[in-house]
Amino acid sequence: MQVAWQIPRNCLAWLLFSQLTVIAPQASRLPLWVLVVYLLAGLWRVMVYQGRWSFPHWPIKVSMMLACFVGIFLSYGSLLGLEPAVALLISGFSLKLIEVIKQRDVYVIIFLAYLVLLTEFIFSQDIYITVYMLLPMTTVTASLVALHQHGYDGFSFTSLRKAAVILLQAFPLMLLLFFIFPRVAPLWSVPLPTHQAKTGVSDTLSPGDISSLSQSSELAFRVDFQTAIPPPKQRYWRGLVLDQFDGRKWTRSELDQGATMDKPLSQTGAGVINYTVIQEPTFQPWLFTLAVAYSTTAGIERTADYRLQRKLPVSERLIYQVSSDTRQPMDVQLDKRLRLMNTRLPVQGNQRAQLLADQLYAQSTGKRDYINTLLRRFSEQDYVYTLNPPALGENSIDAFLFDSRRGFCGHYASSFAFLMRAVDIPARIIGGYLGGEVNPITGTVLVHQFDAHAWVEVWLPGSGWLRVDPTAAVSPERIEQGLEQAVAAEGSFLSGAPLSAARYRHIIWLNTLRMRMDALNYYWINWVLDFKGEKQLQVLKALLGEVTAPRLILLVLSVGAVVLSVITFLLFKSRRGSKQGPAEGVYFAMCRRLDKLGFHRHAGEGPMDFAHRIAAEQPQWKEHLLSASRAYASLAYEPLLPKQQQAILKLLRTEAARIK
Amino acid sequence: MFEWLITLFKSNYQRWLSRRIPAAKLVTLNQRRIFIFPSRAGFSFLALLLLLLIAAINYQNNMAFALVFLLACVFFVSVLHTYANLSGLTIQALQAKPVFAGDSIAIELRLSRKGVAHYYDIKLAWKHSDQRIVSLLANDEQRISLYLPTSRRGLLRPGRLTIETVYPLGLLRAWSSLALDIEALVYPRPLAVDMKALTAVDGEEGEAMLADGSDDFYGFRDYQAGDSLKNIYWKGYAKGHDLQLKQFSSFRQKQLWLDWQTFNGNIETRLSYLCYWALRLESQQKEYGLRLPDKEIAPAKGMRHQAAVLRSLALYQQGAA
Repeated sequence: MQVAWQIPRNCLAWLLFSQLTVIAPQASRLPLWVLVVYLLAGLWRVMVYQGRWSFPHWPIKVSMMLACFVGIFLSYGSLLGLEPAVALLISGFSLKLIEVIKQRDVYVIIFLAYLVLLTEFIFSQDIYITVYMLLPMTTVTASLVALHQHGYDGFSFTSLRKAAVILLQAFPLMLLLFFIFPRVAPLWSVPLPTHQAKTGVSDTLSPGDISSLSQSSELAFRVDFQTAIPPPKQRYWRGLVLDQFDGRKWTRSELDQGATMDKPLSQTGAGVINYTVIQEPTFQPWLFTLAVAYSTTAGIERTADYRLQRKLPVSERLIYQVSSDTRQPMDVQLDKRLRLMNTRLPVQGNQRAQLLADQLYAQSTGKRDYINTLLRRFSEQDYVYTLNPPALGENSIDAFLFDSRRGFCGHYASSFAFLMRAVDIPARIIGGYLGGEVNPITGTVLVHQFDAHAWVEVWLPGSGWLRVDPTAAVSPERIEQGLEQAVAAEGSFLSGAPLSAARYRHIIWLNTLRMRMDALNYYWINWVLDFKGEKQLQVLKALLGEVTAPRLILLVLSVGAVVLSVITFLLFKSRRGSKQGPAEGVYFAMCRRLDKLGFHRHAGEGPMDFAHRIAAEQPQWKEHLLSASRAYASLAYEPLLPKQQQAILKLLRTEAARIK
Repeated sequence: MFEWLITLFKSNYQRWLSRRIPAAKLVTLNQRRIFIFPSRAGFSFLALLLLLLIAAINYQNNMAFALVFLLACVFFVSVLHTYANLSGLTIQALQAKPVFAGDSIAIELRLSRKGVAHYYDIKLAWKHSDQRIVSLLANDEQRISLYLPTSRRGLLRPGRLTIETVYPLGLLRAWSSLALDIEALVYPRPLAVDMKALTAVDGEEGEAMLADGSDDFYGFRDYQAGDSLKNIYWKGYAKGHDLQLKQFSSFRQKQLWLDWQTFNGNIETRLSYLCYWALRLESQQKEYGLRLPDKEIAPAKGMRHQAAVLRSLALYQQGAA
């Protein structure tokens, strides 16, 4: 009489729901059709369960499987890599739904779900995501519980409750492991997220580019200064060097990009700033530092143009330690090839600008005077700093300098560099960020995407590369106070992001809230996500005095013993045998009182028989004794509703109290 | 090659088990009696954990570490939960009604709890019986019958009852192997046979004696196990009556002896014949006695008498009568 195993209805319901919660945070990274496949498979499964549809035949299943493979290949251009792997996992457990499943298959589906949960953390370890992940964790575990609850016909929340209880009990033990488990170095290299949109400053600049970034209030990076925080106008976060101009846009040449082997900077001395940068993923390799920067963090190299760069793109949040020597000159000697590259301009185009440069240079007393003349020109003439510049024509430098005269950092930097190169002074564009706001709670500097900035470096003999920011001449507010103040009159600050909290910085309570959230994030990153190596050792030292094996074992045993005894108490208190409920307690106490007064209840004598016997002898007790005994008999032998039980128990108490 | 070792181990294990969990009518499960070990799914889960741990290490991802640790602790905590799902359960062997050899014997068990905690998916089975999955939710106790196939007559001791559970997560299996003190009587399988020479005690009065295959129709009687199908009154059955047998009469006597010597064949066959006739005479409300080589039961009738007769047949030469 072997009946084929069927998945309990309760389990199926939890399984489908848990898969939804598992997929939800991944949804934005998945092709839409993967979600559609999942929803269809789920619907199909429900229909099969209700007996309306039947399972698809194998040719359909095989072709669906192939279609998924082909679809993933087409969507990502490859089956390898992290994103395609996650999409494969999710299509896999979708298609598993429309097979006849045995109990073993349900285990497979649930274990796959745990695996998908882990992949989510590779993409994001945000505190919000982590808190959310408690939900899928609980629902997946609930479906595992429901798999072993054949007692229920319908949907039941007991599965969820049991799962939550188990997770809650496991939680303190997990924390303990988290504290002491040594973070081993990676065993081998693994695929990193790659199919992601690159964010942040790009490595080309044509007037108009940085404008779109200025509408984004996403965080670019946080900086935690160990030395005093420099004033905003000195916080030029250097990221990219653009030294090649084709008449319309600036790009990076291959020259001067290679790694150099400088000796590390001594971390003390005047003008040395020490700080830690916590950079959000950009999926690009460059890092943002104050010039001239050195880093001791592994995987980071210095390039010949004095930038820091990562060997691999920054695909996860990256924390790196930097020392910057602001006084150190860059390239006191400029070699020939570099000089050539940094003075090169297209032969054709922007003739008016070329003429202007020649004319002004001829009038000036030297290179520095020429630079100052140009800056003065920007500040004295009617140039406007705006986030809404007009479109420029073929000769963009000419059009900007002489006609529109409206633009933001990209326009000013690009035309300034052009005017330098026009008279054979080496100049290049630097892309990066400027300023950033200080969070008073944590003391860290927050640099947002709207802080993106472009400026110029000019090479002068004897001084090397010098930073010149033409935007400062036009809009000193941008440099001193940031973008918001610079465009306050225009009202264009974050006008494209009406929901961004940063836009409402002037509302005090909202800003305080924003700062608190940021502080929470900062501590989360610094103390939880980056809890490893030296930090971990320090915490353990503070806790244990010194980190030795016996002390660690003692810690594990003592915490483990406390947690386990609490769990054991909770689990077994409702399984012990002592059946004496409140009713028995009250009744037997009354019997003991009667016994002392000389009225003994015989072995095997029922409560009512006993009551009648005593009542015959002691009529003054008759009423109370009889009703107490009846109440006890009801409680002991009759099936009662909880409300009735309470009422009768109350009666028993009052009546039994009268027998003295 | 190592069979002797396995045998040695098995016999030692059985001896150890019988000391640790002695036979009893009523057993309450506690830590002395419950064993626990990862299930097959549990081992797969541990393999998954290893995989996740390697991923966490390679990605240097602290939240992935947290996830792995949480799952590992879930596994650990579920040891207690699985164990608790057996702890405090009481199993009582209620009864096993005798059956004829070849039929399945139903052994009735009572599963009850002491506290109010719910118990889920408790699987009960003997080695050769079917299995039942029981939950104690709103109900404090549950009675179940497990069916055990029988092949030969005698006293059946069903061996150790396995009670197990993998609730709540299926990653661990808690079980106990209980020797419930219960015996079931298996009667010989009845075999229909003609019997011309039933010995009468007092041959004064003659009566029609029933014998299959004789010519004169005598009446109907209810079908009993072992009857041949050819005399069944199919028409009546088709009309909705119980299965009945047409009876044909020859001659019969008042008090009858079922005698070992009357029948031919080996011991089991003779016992089967005797069993058939005992059932048949009882159904006719006749008085009959039993005469075995080592035992005699005086003629009588009634359920108790029949039970005594069948019991003697079941236990003949089994040493444990």
